Amino acid sequence: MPPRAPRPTAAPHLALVPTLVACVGLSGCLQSDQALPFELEEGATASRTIGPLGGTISLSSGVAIVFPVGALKTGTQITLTPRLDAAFPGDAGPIIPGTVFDVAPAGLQLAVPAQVSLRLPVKNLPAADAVRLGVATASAGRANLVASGSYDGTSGLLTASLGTLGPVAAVLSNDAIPVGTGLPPTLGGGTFWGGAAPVGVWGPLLADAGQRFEASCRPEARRCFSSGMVQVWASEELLDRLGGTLVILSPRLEADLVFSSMDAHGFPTQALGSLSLKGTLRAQLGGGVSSYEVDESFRTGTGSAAPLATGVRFANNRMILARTSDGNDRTMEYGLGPIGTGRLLTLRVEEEVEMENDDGSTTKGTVILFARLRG
Amino acid sequence: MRRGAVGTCALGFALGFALGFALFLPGAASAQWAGSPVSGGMGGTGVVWARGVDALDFNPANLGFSRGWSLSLLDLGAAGLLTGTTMEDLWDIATAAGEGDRALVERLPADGFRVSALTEGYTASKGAEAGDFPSPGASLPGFALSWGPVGLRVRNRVLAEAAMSREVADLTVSGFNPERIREYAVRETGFRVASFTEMTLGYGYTVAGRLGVGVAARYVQGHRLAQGRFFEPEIDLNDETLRVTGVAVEAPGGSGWGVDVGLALDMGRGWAMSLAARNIAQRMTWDDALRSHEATFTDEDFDSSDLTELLDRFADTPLDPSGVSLPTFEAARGLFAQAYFPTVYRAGVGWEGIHGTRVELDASAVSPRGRQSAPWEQRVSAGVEQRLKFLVLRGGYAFAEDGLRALTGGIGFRVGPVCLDAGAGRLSGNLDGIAYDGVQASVGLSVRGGGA
Repeated sequence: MPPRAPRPTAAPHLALVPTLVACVGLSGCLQSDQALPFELEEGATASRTIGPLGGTISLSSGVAIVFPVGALKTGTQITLTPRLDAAFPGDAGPIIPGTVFDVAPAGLQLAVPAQVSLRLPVKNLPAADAVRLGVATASAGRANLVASGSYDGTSGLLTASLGTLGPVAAVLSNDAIPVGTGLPPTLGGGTFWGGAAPVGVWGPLLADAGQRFEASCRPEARRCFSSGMVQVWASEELLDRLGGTLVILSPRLEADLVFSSMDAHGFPTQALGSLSLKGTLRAQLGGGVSSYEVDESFRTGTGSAAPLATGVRFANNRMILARTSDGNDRTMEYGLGPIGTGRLLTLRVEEEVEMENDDGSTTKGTVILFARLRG
Repeated sequence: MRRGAVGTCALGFALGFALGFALFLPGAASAQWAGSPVSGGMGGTGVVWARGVDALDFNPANLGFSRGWSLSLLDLGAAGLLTGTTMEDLWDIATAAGEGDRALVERLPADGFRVSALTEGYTASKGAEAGDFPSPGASLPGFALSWGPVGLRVRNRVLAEAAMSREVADLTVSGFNPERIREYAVRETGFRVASFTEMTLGYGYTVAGRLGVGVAARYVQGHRLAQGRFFEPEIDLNDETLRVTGVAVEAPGGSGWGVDVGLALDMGRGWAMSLAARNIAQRMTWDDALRSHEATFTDEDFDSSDLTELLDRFADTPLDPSGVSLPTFEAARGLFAQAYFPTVYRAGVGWEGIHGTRVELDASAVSPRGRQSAPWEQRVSAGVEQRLKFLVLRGGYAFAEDGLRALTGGIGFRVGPVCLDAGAGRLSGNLDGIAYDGVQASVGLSVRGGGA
């Protein structure tokens, strides 16, 4: 309650004026934001010695490398420097600006892979491109994507394993094969020699005994994406679970198959060789991108590290190799067709993925890969 | 090859943990509306009629009109504001344990929901310590004393904000379902807490008996400024494992000061008006010897640990700028951005009748810079108080920016020099289809004498 008894003093307005002046003057004391202790200037370098017990080195501008225990055998001076001027090879794919760093000493091989993280500008990246993001390292004027990693689409953190030190950058990989939706075409089979009725859509084809079919594509040489040697589909179950935006990143196909003898109907009876198809299936899951390593390999014969000649037979458009390296017969859909002056053998390779359901049961999905071998 | 996508309920537990960490903040449990329970019952008004120790919260000029002495022995309160959900729904979400009604999630906005809280710090600290949760760090209880035109108030406060994505809420309501693995996302789930003690010394004097002029100086002891976030789960589809990283960065202390000024004019016939500015000048500097709390949890951790054990994993370590992970940098981003107090301008007009009736209409505006204030500070408030012998009844209404409204009520008892006051209110509103819901409640015990 205000007092009722007035006190004899100066007129109120005389006190009001200096008070208001003081208010206006004081309100000029606006505070600016306090800086974080690690807001480094552009171009700043970080350097520290990391020993066998591991450690972390980082730059707030967007890179960190975590060395696990045993990655470095002795104390080593590690240096991180943003690469502002020198170009980074663009052959792994378009480079995300601001993500190129030199990691010294370049060329140092780690006994245990380190984990490198790069911060990407999330707002400038279309969400559909997230599955193609990867960390590339540069060496001898070429850039290659390192092993698979993860991407946090909320914070923009891209993480991957690093086996050798050197310049790193975040790239949108151009060696990423989109996983097709829908069903893959049925392969038509085909005869290898002209004496028998055709099975395939291309009609009878002649192949001499000893015919060799081979294919090779890999990230550091002729790439599978540009060569067309690999095509990928996913079954409906897998697409339902992982979403429709899937790619196979950095696929690697090495195949060599020799048919060493033929029967009277034009089909080979013996085969010798191997096929290895690897890659990283990338899927956008929630706010991040996760990876699944596809690794489907076999060689003919068992009990040896090298391929051994084994029997082969045919049923319609299926090729059945007896006794492959996993100990079982291997049945593959195949198609044989002409290409230029040679022949193209397409093999359907499948990788089964078992997925757990809410009720404890499992659903099986399939990654279907077409590998194309030239003969 | 036989490999599975992620199995078990690990992801659900992981993200549920994020929910728990975000919501089991000390600040979310108890809070305080603005100043006293008297103000709390009157819609947040007070710039005109707050007297004695209460004047320090609103207008130091009112100290010039204060008589006698007053001592605040107890001043407790709770206020929390939910944006995007209701208190009933939040309770159902928090207790769903994976078996809730999916309609709870469908009612949430696409961006999830937020919690804002302003708390009394000492009780919040004690509550957190009792629950074995991180304490905001206020170790001494607050008190206030006024003697004529001079007042001193020591107050502990905790400001807290937490946000949770719709997807995390979905996990807690419906539980983890591996068939929906691509829908789960942590997004902006995280929290921010600032705790501090304010020691305010004010003085008011009157000019010609009708104009009151006051000034208050405040020392601020910062206890903790922390913010944290969780990162999207790293799901290894080959090994059926996941990792969730949570990081908090903390400034372990700080200090600052602030100056309040005020004017109060007795216009006669029971009418009065006031004008005040809180933090007309201020500085707040947080300790930049930051500490980081980082922990990465795997599905095995979640299967075998309880929430307290998981929180214990967030052991703090000094933050070495050349050797921290990028998640730590990300968690620290914006920690100091406007981490100080805004200037709050208040103006009000009031009327006091001869039969113990008081009416007050206030408006307050918050300067755009400075984030250490509650979201309801910028408002228009109206309050009424009626004294009935030893009983005091209060009511009020306020509407704040962005469609936030508050309906309040309060009661007071006067037994000799002892005053017991309580105030409570319900916060509600709607902006662009996103609902607010919240409550505030406060209770105070004071002793007054000498005509106060």
